[in-house]
Formats: sequence, structure tokens, C-alpha cells
Amino acid sequence: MKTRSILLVEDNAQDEMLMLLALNKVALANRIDVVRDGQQALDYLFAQGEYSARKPEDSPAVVLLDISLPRLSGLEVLEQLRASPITKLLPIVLLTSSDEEKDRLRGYEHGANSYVRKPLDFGAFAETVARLGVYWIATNEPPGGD
Amino acid sequence: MRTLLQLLVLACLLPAMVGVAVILFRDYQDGRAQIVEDAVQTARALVRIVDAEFNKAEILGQALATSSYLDQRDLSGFHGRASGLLASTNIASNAVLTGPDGRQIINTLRPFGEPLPMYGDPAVIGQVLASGLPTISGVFAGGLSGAPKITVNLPVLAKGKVVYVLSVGVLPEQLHLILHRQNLAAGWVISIFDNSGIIAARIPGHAQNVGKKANDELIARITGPLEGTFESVTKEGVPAVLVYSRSPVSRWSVAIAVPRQALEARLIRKQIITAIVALLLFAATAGLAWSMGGQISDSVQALTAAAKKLGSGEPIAPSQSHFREAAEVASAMQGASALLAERRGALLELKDQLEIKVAERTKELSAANNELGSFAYAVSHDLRAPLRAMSGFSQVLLDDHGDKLDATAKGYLQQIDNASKRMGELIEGILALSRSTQGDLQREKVDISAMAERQLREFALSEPARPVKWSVEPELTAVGDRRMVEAVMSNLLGNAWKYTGKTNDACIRVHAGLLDGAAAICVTDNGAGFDMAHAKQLFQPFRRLHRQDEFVGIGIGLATVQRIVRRHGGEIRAESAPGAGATFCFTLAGTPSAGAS
Repeated sequence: MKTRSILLVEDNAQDEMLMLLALNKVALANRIDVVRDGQQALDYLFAQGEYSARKPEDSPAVVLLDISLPRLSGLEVLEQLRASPITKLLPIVLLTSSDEEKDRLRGYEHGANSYVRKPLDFGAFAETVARLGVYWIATNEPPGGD
Repeated sequence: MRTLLQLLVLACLLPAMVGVAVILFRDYQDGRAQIVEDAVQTARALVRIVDAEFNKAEILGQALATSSYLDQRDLSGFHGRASGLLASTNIASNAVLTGPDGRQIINTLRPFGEPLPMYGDPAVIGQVLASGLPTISGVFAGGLSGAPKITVNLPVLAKGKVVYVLSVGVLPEQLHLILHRQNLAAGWVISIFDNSGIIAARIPGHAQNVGKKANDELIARITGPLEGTFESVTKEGVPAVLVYSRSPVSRWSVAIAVPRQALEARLIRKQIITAIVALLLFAATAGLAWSMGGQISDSVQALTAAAKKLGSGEPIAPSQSHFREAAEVASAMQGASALLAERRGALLELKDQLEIKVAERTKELSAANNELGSFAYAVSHDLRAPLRAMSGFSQVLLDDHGDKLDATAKGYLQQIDNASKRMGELIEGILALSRSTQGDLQREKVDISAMAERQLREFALSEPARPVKWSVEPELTAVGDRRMVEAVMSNLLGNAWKYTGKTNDACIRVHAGLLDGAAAICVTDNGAGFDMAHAKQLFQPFRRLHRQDEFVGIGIGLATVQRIVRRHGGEIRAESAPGAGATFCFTLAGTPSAGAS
């Protein structure tokens, strides 16, 4: 079985670093690709623009999608992904620092598979990321996979 | 209105009517007294006339009685002398000379020497013989003719002795003639009675009544006082007022009967005329009052209608007024109505302007509020990322590179971590405060008792080591936004939990109370409490009455609670003293009987 990548959509460099640190602690074999805004995420997933060389069917195991992104917000990205047949069933976890119930509800409305609040405590954060990674990579058989 | 005026007029007229009646009655009495007085005068005069008649007869008789013919016993000569004197004087009907035996000796009605009968009234002859004084007879049947007769009798003396009685005859017709001359009013009855009550003359019915005795009552009356007036009934059966006068000389009487009808007819006629005039006057006054009452009533009704319209703000149409005053009031009300309409218009315009302004301000305010809300949200959201970095990297340093750091360096890193966590809490607080005034209120009935029980159980679970006792009054309810009420209770109970942390036998009570007379929900603890002097700072954000090393906290809870309560239109107040615990009571508008049941 070919190891699929994890796509992290995060514009904050420090959060990205911490996220990578946390994911590394879990010692996953998956390659972690990072894109820094909504448009890049769409280009990556639809294999267009700067990612046109990529094969579209080479989809990531899970997308960790931050809500507040420049250009296209996480929710707009989510909306477009769910609208496309290629990415309709792609596992997407929304990452956010907001406690707002509104965000959570809107996230689910647009079809996020899960929601994770970025905890302030790094220990807790790392634990959450680890659980997330293990859960989606190890237990979830992504739809449409081979 | 009309009826009232009628009554008023009647009330005014009534004394006048009574007065008129009294005057009429007095007039009647006076008139009657006048008539009676006139009758009395007439009777008195007639008695004198009758007496004068008898006096003339007596003088004539005196002349005859002292005639020389009698002295000389020349009876034949005396007859001639007497007949001649009678014919020339026309005073008496005849003269009779009667002897002491009562037999007539000479009667001028018969030729001298013709045999004559006894004198008709022997008693009077006896009386003259006995007394030797002139005497007037009563009415008696004449000795010759048997016709009623009256005589004046005189003694004829010879040597001091009564030898004959000379009688001068007076016929009742003579007296009747006297009565006739009086021309008395029709219906009146006038009679002359002799000294024993026998009728000597009468109008009307002279012939039938002469010589007849009057009735006993009349006799009893006229033989009493010399004059009198009394009610009686005439022989003809007519009710009358009878007046009489009696002569003290002859003891003859004259009586006049004034029929009551005749007496009253004139007076009654006069009174009827007066009464009719008075009634006409009253009717005219009443009619005038009725008409004026109608006019006043119409005017007042018009005014009342106008006043009602004024009260309800309708425009007033000009109305017909019969009185200057009413017209003035009506015009004043019209003016007031116009003024009111004008003011109302101006007021409405102002109100519209005000509403527009309020709407504008509300819009601006809500925009500013939303802006502030999203600003607070964005700020707190964006502040979190650097905090996460500070906290995260210091943690990574400690975890992954701790072996290269000494204890002091590790301590500093820990401080960075602590500070970032505390700042995270502050941001959470700002967000909570911002959330408390964002979004719509969705009021519903909330079971406060159940909510408090649940929250207290959660606190107990989070700190199982603390032996806190609590009691929650059952069936406490409030109407409010469930999420916000939850935040209020959670903050109040959380504070109670926190500030009883250093109290032995910590106890928290949730119960019903009163706040400004309204039913309130109260949370009471026996914890640290606070000085009421600082109570004002209690609800200000980030203001705390305790140091961090006493009780940790960020000072946002009560500010949030107060904002929520105020948003519901309610009020919150605290009562406390240092070391004596605290009580927080709050109301939510729209809570009909919070906790009162």
C-alpha cells in the first residue's frame, strides 16, 4: 500500500512549525505537504496552476484545513472541495483557534469531517494532532482510494 | 335642563301664587265685611226712620189727646177735628178713642155715632191705662177691619186720670213704602219687626207676611243685642247673612238678609278674573322658561358635544349658541381645538423626526456594536496565534531541549508559558464579554433550580476534595435566553465556589429573593465576601477586589453577568461584608414570578 500524503493548509509559519513538530512526534510515515493559502490548497488538490504537474487522483489521506486563511478562507475552500466530484469525499479536518460555535456549525454545514481547535497548550496540541493523524491515517480508509 | 328650569320657575311662582291666593282671600273677606257693614248701616238708618214715623204719629196723637174738644167732652167735635187733622197731615191712617172698658168710642174710619166694636188689641189699652204713658202697639188685627194694624197709643187725661186712650193708626203699607224707597239689590230681603217679632213690613212678599211671627231663632236673636250679624236661611229657603238693628226706643227692629250667593257672586267673579290673569301670567312665564330652557339646553348640549370632541381630539364644527356666554365658550373651545390640532401636528412631526433620528442612531449604534464585536473577535482570534507560538515553542524547548538548559532557564521558560496561558484566559474573557451582547435574545422559561444543581455537581466533580455543602430551592424559574442565563448562573456559582475556597464548612445557597419589589434569584455563599465600599467596581471588566495570590481570576465574570442581566431588562445587586460571605440577587424582565412559586 502506497503511503499517501497529509496536506496541511496553514498560513501561520509558527503554527505550521508547531504542527509539524507535533506530527513528527507521532512519527508518521506519511509525507506532509504544506500550502499557505486557500487558492494554493485548491491548486494542489485539483492539480492546477503551480501544481498542474501533480496527478489529481494522487489525493492526500487527510487535509488539515485552517479556517482563517488569506485570499480564500478555509470555509470557502471547503465549499469548493465539496462541490467537486473529485474531492467530494476527501477527509477534511478544520483547524481553528476560534471557540465560536458559529464556525463549528458552518464547518459542518459545508461538510467538514471533523473540527479541531488549536489548543494553546503545546502538550495538548501535540496530543490532539497525534490523535488526529493516527485516526485519519490509520483507521480511516479514505473513499475512492486504491 | 328644561325640566330643571321649569321646576325653578315653579319654585319662584309658587310663593307668588300663594301670595295671590292670600290677597284674594283677604280681599274677599274685606269685601264681604264691607257689604255686611253697609247692610248694618242701612238697617240702622231704617230703624231711625221707623222711629221717626212713630214719633210723628205720637206728636199727632199728642195734639189730638190734648184737644179742647175732649176737655169739653165734645166727642162729635173731636171726631171732626181728628178727621180733619189726619187728612191734612197724612201721617196716620186713622185715630181711635177707646174707653177704659176697651170699647171704641170714636173711630175716624166711621161716622160719629155709629156703634163700634171693642179695640183690636186690648192689652195695649190696659198698658196705657196702667202706665199713663204713650205706648206703641205691635202688629195686630184691627177691631173694625181685622186687617193688620199698628197704633201709637196715648192716654187722654182729665184731672190727672186716664179717661180715654187715643190710638193713632199706622198702616204696615206705610212702612212697606219706606222699605221700597231703599231700592235694595235684587235677592236681598228686608223686614221690619215689631217689638215681639211680628213682621210689620217685608220686601219681598209683604202682603203674605205682614202680621206673621218670625221664626223663633230670629226672634231670639233680634231681642238680644241691639245690633248683630249672623248666618241664617230666609223664609224662601235661601242661605243668607242676616244683619239687624233694633231701636232702643220702640224696640222695633229692621233685619236685612243678604243672600250668600249675592254676597259672594261679585267677589268670586273678581277673584276668578284675578286668578285667570295670574294663571295666564304663570303660563306665559312657564312657556318663556320652557323656551329659554330649550335654548340653554341646546347651547349646553352643543358645548358638551364640543368639549367631548375636544377631549377626543376631533375637530370642532361651529355650533349655534343662543347666549353670548355659550357662544364665547364655544368659540374658545374652537380656538383650543384648532390650537390642539396645530400642536398635535407639530408634535407628530417632531415625533416622526425623533423616530427617524432614533432609528438612525440605533442603526449607527448597532453597526458600531457589531463592528466592536467583530473587532473583539478578530483581535482575540489573531492574538491567539502568537500566544500559541510563545507557549508552544517554550514547551518544545522544555520538552526537546531541556537537557541543554539549567534550572533557571527552565524557570524562565515556564514563566513565558504561564504568561501566555494567562493572556489566553484574558482573551477568552474578552470574547465571552463580547458574546454576551451579541446575537438575539431568545426568551424561554428556564428551570433555574435544575440548572444550578447541575452546575454545582460539575464544580464538585472538578474539585472532589472540597467539601462544599449546597442547597437549591426547588421550582425556581426565570424567563430568559437559556445560553445567557446559563452563563449568569455559571459565573455566580463559580464565584461562590471560588470565594468559599478558604472557608471551613463552605456553604452555597440558591434561593428566591426580592429586588426592588420584584421576584429575584439569589446566590448566597459564606465565603470571603468583600467591602461594600468597593461594590461599584464589582461589575466593571477586569476590576477585581482580591489579589491573584488570594483568589485567581481575570475579573470578567460579573461584568459579563451584569451585561446579560441588563440586556434582559433586569437588575443585579450584591450584598456583602468582608469575611461574611456574599449574596448576589438578579431579576430578568419578563420573568413573571421568578422563584416566587
